Amino acid sequence: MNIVRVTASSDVLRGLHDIDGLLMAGSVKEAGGGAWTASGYATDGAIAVVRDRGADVDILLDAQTRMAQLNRVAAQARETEGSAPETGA
Amino acid sequence: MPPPTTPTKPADIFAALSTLSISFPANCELITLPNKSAEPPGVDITCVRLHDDGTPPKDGFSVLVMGGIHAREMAPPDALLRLAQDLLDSFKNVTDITFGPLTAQVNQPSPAPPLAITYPSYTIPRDVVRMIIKNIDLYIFPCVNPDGRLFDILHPGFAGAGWRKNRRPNPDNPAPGAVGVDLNRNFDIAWDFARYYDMPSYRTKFTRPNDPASAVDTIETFNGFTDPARTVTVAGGATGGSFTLNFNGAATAPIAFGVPAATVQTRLRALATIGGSNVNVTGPDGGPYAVTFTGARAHPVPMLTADFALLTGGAGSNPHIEIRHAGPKTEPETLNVEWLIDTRKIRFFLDVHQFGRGILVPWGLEDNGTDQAMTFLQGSTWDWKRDGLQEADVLPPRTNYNEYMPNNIPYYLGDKLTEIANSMQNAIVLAAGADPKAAPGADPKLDHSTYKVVSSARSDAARGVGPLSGASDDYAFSRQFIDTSRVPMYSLTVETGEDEENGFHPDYTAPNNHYQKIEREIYAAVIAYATAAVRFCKWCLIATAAYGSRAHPDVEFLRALRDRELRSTRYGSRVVAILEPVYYSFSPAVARFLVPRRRCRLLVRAVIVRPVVVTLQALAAACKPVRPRRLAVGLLATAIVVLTLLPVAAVAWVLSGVV
Repeated sequence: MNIVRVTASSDVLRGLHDIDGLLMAGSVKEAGGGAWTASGYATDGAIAVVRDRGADVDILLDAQTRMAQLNRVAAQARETEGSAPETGA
Repeated sequence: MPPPTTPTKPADIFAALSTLSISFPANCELITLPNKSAEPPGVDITCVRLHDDGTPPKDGFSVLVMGGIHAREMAPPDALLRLAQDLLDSFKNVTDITFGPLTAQVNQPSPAPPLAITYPSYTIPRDVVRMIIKNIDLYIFPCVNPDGRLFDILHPGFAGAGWRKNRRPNPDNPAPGAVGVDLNRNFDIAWDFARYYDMPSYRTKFTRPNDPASAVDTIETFNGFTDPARTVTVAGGATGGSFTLNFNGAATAPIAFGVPAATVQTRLRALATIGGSNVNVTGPDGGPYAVTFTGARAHPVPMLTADFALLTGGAGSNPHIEIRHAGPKTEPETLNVEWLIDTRKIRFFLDVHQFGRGILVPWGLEDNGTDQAMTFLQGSTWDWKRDGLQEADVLPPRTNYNEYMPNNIPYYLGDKLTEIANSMQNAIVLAAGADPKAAPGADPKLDHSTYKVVSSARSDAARGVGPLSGASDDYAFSRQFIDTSRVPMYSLTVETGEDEENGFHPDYTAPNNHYQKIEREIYAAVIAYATAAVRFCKWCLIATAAYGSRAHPDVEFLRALRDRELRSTRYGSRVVAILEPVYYSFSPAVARFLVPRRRCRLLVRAVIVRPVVVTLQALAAACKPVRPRRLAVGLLATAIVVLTLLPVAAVAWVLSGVV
C-alpha cells in the first residue's frame, strides 16, 4: 500500500470508509476552506476510487519503496532471530 | 550508544532492560509484569523503574511512560529504551544528554523529492535529569505488546498497514486477521462500547454511510473476548422490522422482530464461526434473549454486536438492540499495564503512540463537562444513553452527555492537563531548534515539529471517528474517581511522528533519519512531562487552597522559591527532599478541609500564608548577595521550616481535632 494524504470536506472523508484497500490512520488536520486532511494507506485502485469521490490524494510514499524498506528490516530481523535470548521464554 | 539502524526486537528490548538493572542497581529496578504475553507459550514482559539511590517506590510521585501497545508503531519502544539508558547514564555520571546536529528528511507529495531539514544539537541538562530522578519514580515500559511487535517486524506490510493488535489466538475463526485484540480498546474503562453509548445516537454522526450499521463497534472497537454468556434485548420502542447479530466476523441472516428464542438460536448456529450446537438461546418471544455459548465455544469468545438499522418503531421511538456482555476478560498485556498503574500508584501516565503529531487530552470517552452526575461510573444510570455527540448535534429534548472533568481548586485537572500538554508541545519545538513564533512556512523546523494539542474524544471526528472506550489513558485517568486517595491523577497520549515520516514504520537510516528525529521528539516530550510531574505534583496545596488559585502570585512565589532557589544547589535539593515528604503527608488533608470553608481559608491566608510569604520575600532578597550560595540556601531553608511547616503543622493538628 502507498502512504497517502487525503484532503476533502468532512462529509467526503466520512464516506470513504467502505473503500477496499483504503485504511485511514493518524489524526485529522484542518486544511482550510472547510477541508480536512487525513492520512492513510491505500492501494493504487483505492486511490482512483477516492479521487472519483471528490477527494484530493497526495502520495507521500509509494508502495514499492515502502515495501523495500519493510522487507529489508524483516530480512535483518530474520537473520538474527534466535541469536538473542527470548527473555523468560 | 548510537541509535538503532532497524527496529529492535522485543527480546532484545527486554534483554537490554535487564542489563540496565544490572549495570545501575542503585537506580534501576527491573519489574517483571505478572502476565506473560497472550500468544502461547507467552514471553515474560518487563519494564524498569528509575529512582533515586536505592529508594523504594514512592507513593504519589510515580510517572509511567509506556509504548508499543499498538504493535506496528515502531519508534516509541526503541526511543523509550534508549531514554532509560541515557537517563541512567546521565544521572550516574553527572553528564548532559546530548544529540548532535541532525539532518532528516520528510516525504513530500509525489513527484517532489523528500525535503531535507537540519536540526541543531539538542541537550538535556544533567540538572534536569537529576531533578527528575531525585524527585519521582519514573517507570519506563517500552514494549507492552511484544508478540505483536515481533509479528509486525517479521511480516512486513501485513494487512497493508501492518499489525496493530496482540497475537491472542482465535481458534474459532481461521481468518489470519481474526487473531488478536486491540489492546488499547481493552482496558476496563467503559469496556463494553455498545452498552456505554446509545448507538443509534452515536451513529447519527459516526455511522459510515456504506458500512453495516454495526461497523462502528465491530471494526473500530473490537475490544476483546468475554465470558460465554450475554443478553440480547430489543429496545427503544421497536415494533417491527428485523436485525442481524454479528459474531467473530460473520453476520446472521435477518432475525424478524418478535421471534421466539429458538429462531435466534437457529440463526446463530448457522454461522460458521459458531456452528453445530455451540450456542443456546432462551427467553420469551421477542426477547430479552439469553445467549450462552457452549460445547466447542464454551470459553471466552469475541463480543456479539448487532445491526439493527432495519428495526422499525412508531413516531419518536428509537429502535435498537442492547447487548449486555458478561464483563471484561481483559488481555494479559492490558492487565499488566493496569497492574502497574494500580499497584505502583501511578499519578502521571503517558502513552506514547505513533503517528499524527498530536498530544491528546482526556477524556477520550466524551467531551469534558462539569456535571458530576455524568461519569463513566454511573453505568446503570447512563448505559445505552450516552450520545457520544457534541452539544450542537444533540437534538431536543435530549440532554447532552459530557464526561465529568473537575477543574477547580486545588488541583485544576482540566487546566493542568492542557498546561502540561502545551509544555510538551513547546519542548518538542525547542528541541528542534525552531522559532515557536515563526509564521507558517517560514521555518521548516517548526512546520515539521509542531504537535497539536487536541481533545482525545474529537481528534478524528472529521473523518467519522467518534469517542471511543477502553483506552489506556482513560483507564489511568479514571483511577482517581474510583479511589479518591489517588487524586490528582493526570494522563495523556502522544502521537509521535507523521505520515511524511513513513507513518507507522519510520526509516531508521540516512538520509531519511525519520527515527532519529522522532526519538528527539519523544525525549523532549517525556522530559517535559516528567518535569511537569515534579513541579506540578508538589505545589503548595495549602496556599493554593487558601487563595483559591494556584496562579496567585504568593503561590507562584513559594513554588519558584523551592524550584529555582532551593533546588539550585545540591544542598538545597537535599533540604527539599527531606521537607517534602513531611509537608505532603498532611497538606492534602488540610487543603481538602479548607476548600469548602471560606472563613478558615481567610484565616489561614491572613495569619499564616501572607506573613510567611512577606518574610520569605524579604529574606530571599537579603540572601541574594550572600556567598557562598550554599549559605544563602541554608538560611532560606531554615526560614521555611520555621515560618511555614511549624505553623501549618500546628493548624493541621488543630483542624484534625475539629474534623
